[in-house]
Amino acid sequence: MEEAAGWLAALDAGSVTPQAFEQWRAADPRHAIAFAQVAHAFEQVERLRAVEDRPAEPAPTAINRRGMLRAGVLAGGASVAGALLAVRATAREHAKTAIGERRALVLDDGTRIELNTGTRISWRIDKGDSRIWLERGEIGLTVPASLRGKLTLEAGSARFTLGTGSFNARQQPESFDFLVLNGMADSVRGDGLTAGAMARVIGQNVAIGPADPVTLDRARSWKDGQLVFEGESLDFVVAEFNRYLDPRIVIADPALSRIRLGGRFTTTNPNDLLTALHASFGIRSQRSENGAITLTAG
Amino acid sequence: MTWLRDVDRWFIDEILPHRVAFRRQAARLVPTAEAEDLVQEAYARAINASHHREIVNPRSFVLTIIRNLAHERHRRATVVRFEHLADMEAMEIADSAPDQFAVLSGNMELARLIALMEQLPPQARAVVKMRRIEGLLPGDIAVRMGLSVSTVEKHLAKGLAILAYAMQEAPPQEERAPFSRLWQRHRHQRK
Repeated sequence: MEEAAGWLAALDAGSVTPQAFEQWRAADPRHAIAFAQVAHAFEQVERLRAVEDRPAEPAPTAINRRGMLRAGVLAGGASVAGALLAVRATAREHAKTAIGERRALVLDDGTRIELNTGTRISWRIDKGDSRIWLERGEIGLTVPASLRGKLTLEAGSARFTLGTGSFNARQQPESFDFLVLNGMADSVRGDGLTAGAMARVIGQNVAIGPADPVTLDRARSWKDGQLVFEGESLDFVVAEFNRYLDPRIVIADPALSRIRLGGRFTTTNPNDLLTALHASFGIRSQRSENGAITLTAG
Repeated sequence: MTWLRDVDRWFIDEILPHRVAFRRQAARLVPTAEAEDLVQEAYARAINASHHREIVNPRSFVLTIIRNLAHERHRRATVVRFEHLADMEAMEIADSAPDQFAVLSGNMELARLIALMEQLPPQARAVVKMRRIEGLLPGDIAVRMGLSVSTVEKHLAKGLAILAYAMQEAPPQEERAPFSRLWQRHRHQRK
């Protein structure tokens, strides 16, 4: 900009040749743009001749249509808190959620369980001894301090004893992942897990270590219907979305898998993802005959 | 001004008045720090357009260039944040109201111009004022201020650079909180 202004002032004073100027302008489109912007300012100042010695009028207030729209949206928003159910204990009970559904329940022993999409659990509460089985899907557990007895969580061959605190358990296609968000727990082998620890169980193999921050964030966020990503491939993002979808999204073009995404997606509604993918990458989505949504490069 | 080509004239008259909309569009598509750079890249494409007089809607033309450039950048980027994924709904609003935007920015300009002039360094302000408002020639200004013509030239260049730079800045506007933008839209759709 300084350079362009220098050329304009020099042209104005007649201290440079038009040929030298043309050469400079033709060298780079950015020169031409900066010069046009400076020329625009040069012209604009002249308009002040008309308003010289006249007090400046206050600038009109801009009406922000988007701001108004947003205010309306906020006021009309509905709460989507999961249904809270108190369940009486019998011998062994079940609860499940459909694809895309979330719900919360409180067991007779005071343990609160939140079920994520496509989840099935069962439990049995005897005197001072509660057992919970995660058959499929993902749950969040909050164990109150008042629970004096013993609480065990089982999934396949995996078994953990939970103390007071909050925990997350998820059945993955290849593993069972158990996270301690607060409090502590013990694995069946007697390994102690404290807050921030994760145990990954594959068959008889149990690996315990500190969890990634994004894993912890993800375990806390799904309860509010939020999906968290940190540079994962579109494959992974679509797979996470698909847990909530029926029919599912299919990536038809393998080249698209290279796209990596990060950040917090504040809804599991696929339309928002599809709209964003189209606007940002030109990716097209189409509903195929079997109902699946296929993604192709635009 | 004799040193403006037809394409420059077109650029000043048809493209620059929409710069607020361009910046908004860019800020929606890429991180804030990259928005101005994206607009400049789109300008470079526009000013090199050989057929500029045949472009029916220059505003849409540049908005489309910005979107396509953003697509290219996103495809190249290692990681794209959701916060920067485009908000199509808002873009459609921006697209459909060109006159409102143009008039708005035109009106603001005069008031801002006066404010900007007041903020120039005293010497630069005096030279710009004499040259453009009083219409004096550089030689006359030099005599009146007791300066050499080349010093007058430098003050004029400095003043114009500051003005031109400030005029490219979008007027201050309400920042949209990145949090839960899509969520709000989701709720809106559910209503």
